[in-house]
Amino acid sequence: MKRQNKRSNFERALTIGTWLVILLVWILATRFENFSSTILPSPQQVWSAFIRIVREGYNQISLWQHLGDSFKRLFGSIFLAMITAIPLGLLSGFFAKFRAIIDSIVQFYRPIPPLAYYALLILWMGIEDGSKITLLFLAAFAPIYIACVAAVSSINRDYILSAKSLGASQKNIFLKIVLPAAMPDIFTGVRTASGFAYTTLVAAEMTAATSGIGWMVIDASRYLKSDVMFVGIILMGLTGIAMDGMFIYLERKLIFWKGKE
Amino acid sequence: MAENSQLVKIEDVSMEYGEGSQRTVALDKINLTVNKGEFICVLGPSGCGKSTLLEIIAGYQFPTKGKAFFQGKPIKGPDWHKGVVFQSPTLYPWLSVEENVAFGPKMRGLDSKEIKEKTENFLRQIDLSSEGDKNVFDLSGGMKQRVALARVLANEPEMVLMDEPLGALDALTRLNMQGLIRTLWKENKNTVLMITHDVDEALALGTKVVVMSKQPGTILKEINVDYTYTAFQSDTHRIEMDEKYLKTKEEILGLITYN
Repeated sequence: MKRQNKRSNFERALTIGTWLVILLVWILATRFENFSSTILPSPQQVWSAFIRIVREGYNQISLWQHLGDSFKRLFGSIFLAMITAIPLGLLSGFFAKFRAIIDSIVQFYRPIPPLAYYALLILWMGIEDGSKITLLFLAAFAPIYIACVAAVSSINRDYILSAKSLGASQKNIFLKIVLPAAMPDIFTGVRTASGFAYTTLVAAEMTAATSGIGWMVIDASRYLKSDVMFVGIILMGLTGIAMDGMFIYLERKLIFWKGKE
Repeated sequence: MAENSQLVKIEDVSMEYGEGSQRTVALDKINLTVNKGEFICVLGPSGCGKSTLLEIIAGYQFPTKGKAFFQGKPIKGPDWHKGVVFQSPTLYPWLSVEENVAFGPKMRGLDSKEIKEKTENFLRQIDLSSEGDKNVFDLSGGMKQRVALARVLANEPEMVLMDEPLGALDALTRLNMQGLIRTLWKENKNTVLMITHDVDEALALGTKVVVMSKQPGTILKEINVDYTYTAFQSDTHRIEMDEKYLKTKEEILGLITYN
């Protein structure tokens, strides 16, 4: 379980070293090459921009409000996608007739880049959170749904047969066997979906919004505030890592049997 | 044997797969009855359709010809009256040892006091009372198969079907497990049908050994044996092998090899 923590100290040093080198190159480049701060702001400028945004916010909206708006859209839509895609995906995997209804729709819209139909969603639902949450919901739905269908078809047949021979009803087989047996795959699906939804979120906020971390970056670019753009982009990266770390942590806690069957 | 003690009746059962040149006959006109309290060991070379026979009794498959009855009624599918122990234990890794054993009684909707009693009873019988809270994936292969046995027995099924339950275990664990299976059979008065490819195992456990031929699977001979009872009298809890034992073993090996 703790194999990941057992990475040798040398490898950890390499990772930290890589980032120190990147930081060093950045400092040296800005100090000796005399880039204008619009092209490449120095680390110090980015840091002070960060402190300024933390204190005063951006465009009269605090940083926490920007992040909060983004997270509300993101987690709201992932939650909606989970409570719909998991049952529908499992049912599709379980019943061929169910799959015949839903599968082709999902397969049709899945390869379309979400931004392609975002304009339509804005037309129908306005520029506020409604259209964004719908967009992210659609982005997150497909990966979770597909993972669930695949999960059911890869369940050990003997799990289901033995449950039947132990007296489990069809309903109990679904709830007590299929659902937990599919959990590892469902989790992977949710994780993939979250990554995809996050990318879509930033893109959507850049297209049309009045707040959010993606909007902050695109608004700063209009006034050539490169330091603010850097702050926004670095925050996006860190948030993404934190989100993925949270999923890995939850997976270890909730699906303790993964890979040990 | 009296008519009412008959548990399973297989009448002219055949099983075919595929069509045309792809057609294979897995079972050919099998007739078999299992009476209450018997311990039947089905012996045969691999690919002789022993597992198919077991799956038909379990209700996982339906014969293409002939009829299969359980307690006088045609077998329509799996249910808790016919418990199955698989070759590789199919314990649910998301449940603890105790929860695995309690699964059957819980599914049948017994009240929690009864579930607890049964679970504790069978955990004690397989000598794993102190391991109830453990995760099943932390157990050794032999322990897992013991839990799988207890999980089936906790349901008190009329019939226990075992598909080479000891096939994946090492020789020593296997011997201990044979003793355990024999004791469980006697204490709980089960009816067992066990598939094996080990002649000694069949003779050591069975009250009747059914020898099957290579594909297409037919029953070559049914031999009544009583070595398993000698284990209850001996101090070592092992069976006594006399001269007749060796002759029977020779006979069975001859049947399997030359048919």
